[in-house]
Amino acid sequence: MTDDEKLDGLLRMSLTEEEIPPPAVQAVLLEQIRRKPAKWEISWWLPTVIGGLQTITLVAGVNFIFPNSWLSLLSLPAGACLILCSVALSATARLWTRKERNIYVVDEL
Amino acid sequence: MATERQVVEQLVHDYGTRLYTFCRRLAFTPGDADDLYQQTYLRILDMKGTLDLSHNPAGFLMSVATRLWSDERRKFARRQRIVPLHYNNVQVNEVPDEKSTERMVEQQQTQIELREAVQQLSDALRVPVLLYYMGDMSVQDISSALRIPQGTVKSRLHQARQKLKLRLEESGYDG
Repeated sequence: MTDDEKLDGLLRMSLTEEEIPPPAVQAVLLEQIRRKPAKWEISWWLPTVIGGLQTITLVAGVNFIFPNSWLSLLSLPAGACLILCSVALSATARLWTRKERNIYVVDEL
Repeated sequence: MATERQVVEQLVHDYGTRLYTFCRRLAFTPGDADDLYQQTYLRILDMKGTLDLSHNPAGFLMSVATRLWSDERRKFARRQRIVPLHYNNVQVNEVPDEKSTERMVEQQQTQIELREAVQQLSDALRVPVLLYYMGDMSVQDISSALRIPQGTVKSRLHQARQKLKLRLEESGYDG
């Protein structure tokens, strides 16, 4: 057995010497798990849709209040740009978080 | 959600001791370790999706604990300044009389020294060592958990081994 293998064995033995969780800590933890209210989560795409609808409403409002003005003409591409940006950002964030979790978490609910 | 609670409770029963041991090695004080241990399971409860328990669940739990600890490192470090680390050396005295041969005591002492040496490593070296030896995690898994390249993990493990070896040699360990 080489020195490195001996050190590996010693390290494993030394670090894995078990320490039992205190019963009080364990009891509180189990109680918290049982009583913790279910986390309320919204779908990842919902904020994007709401943001998009708000933008559309704003653009429609500008066109209604200032018809045929430079502001109404400008609001159309600006609104479209905002919606595209929010969709792109949401999709990127979604892909990023999924990549992080895919090692251990499957069957998304 | 009820099923998830049962799964998490099962994880507490099956891997609680291993995770708690890991938390004790990772955090600076027993109080921090208790906090980290509880927070880890509560964080898992908040995770969406179904856990894939076929892939080293202990490693998964330790990755989550490491992430939590890393996020709240400043808080733990502040506590460490207030309450300095006193590693528990009582275990030498806890060896039953009939088994307390010189060899066993020496081995226990070496283990304690080694644990202290690991504890004194910088975080960059200590965390990969703990995940590798306690979580039985591969270099690839550690790389994913810590978000660092695999080469960096290998290099840190190598550096840590060299430092620990040196420390043991200084204290008279001859292998």
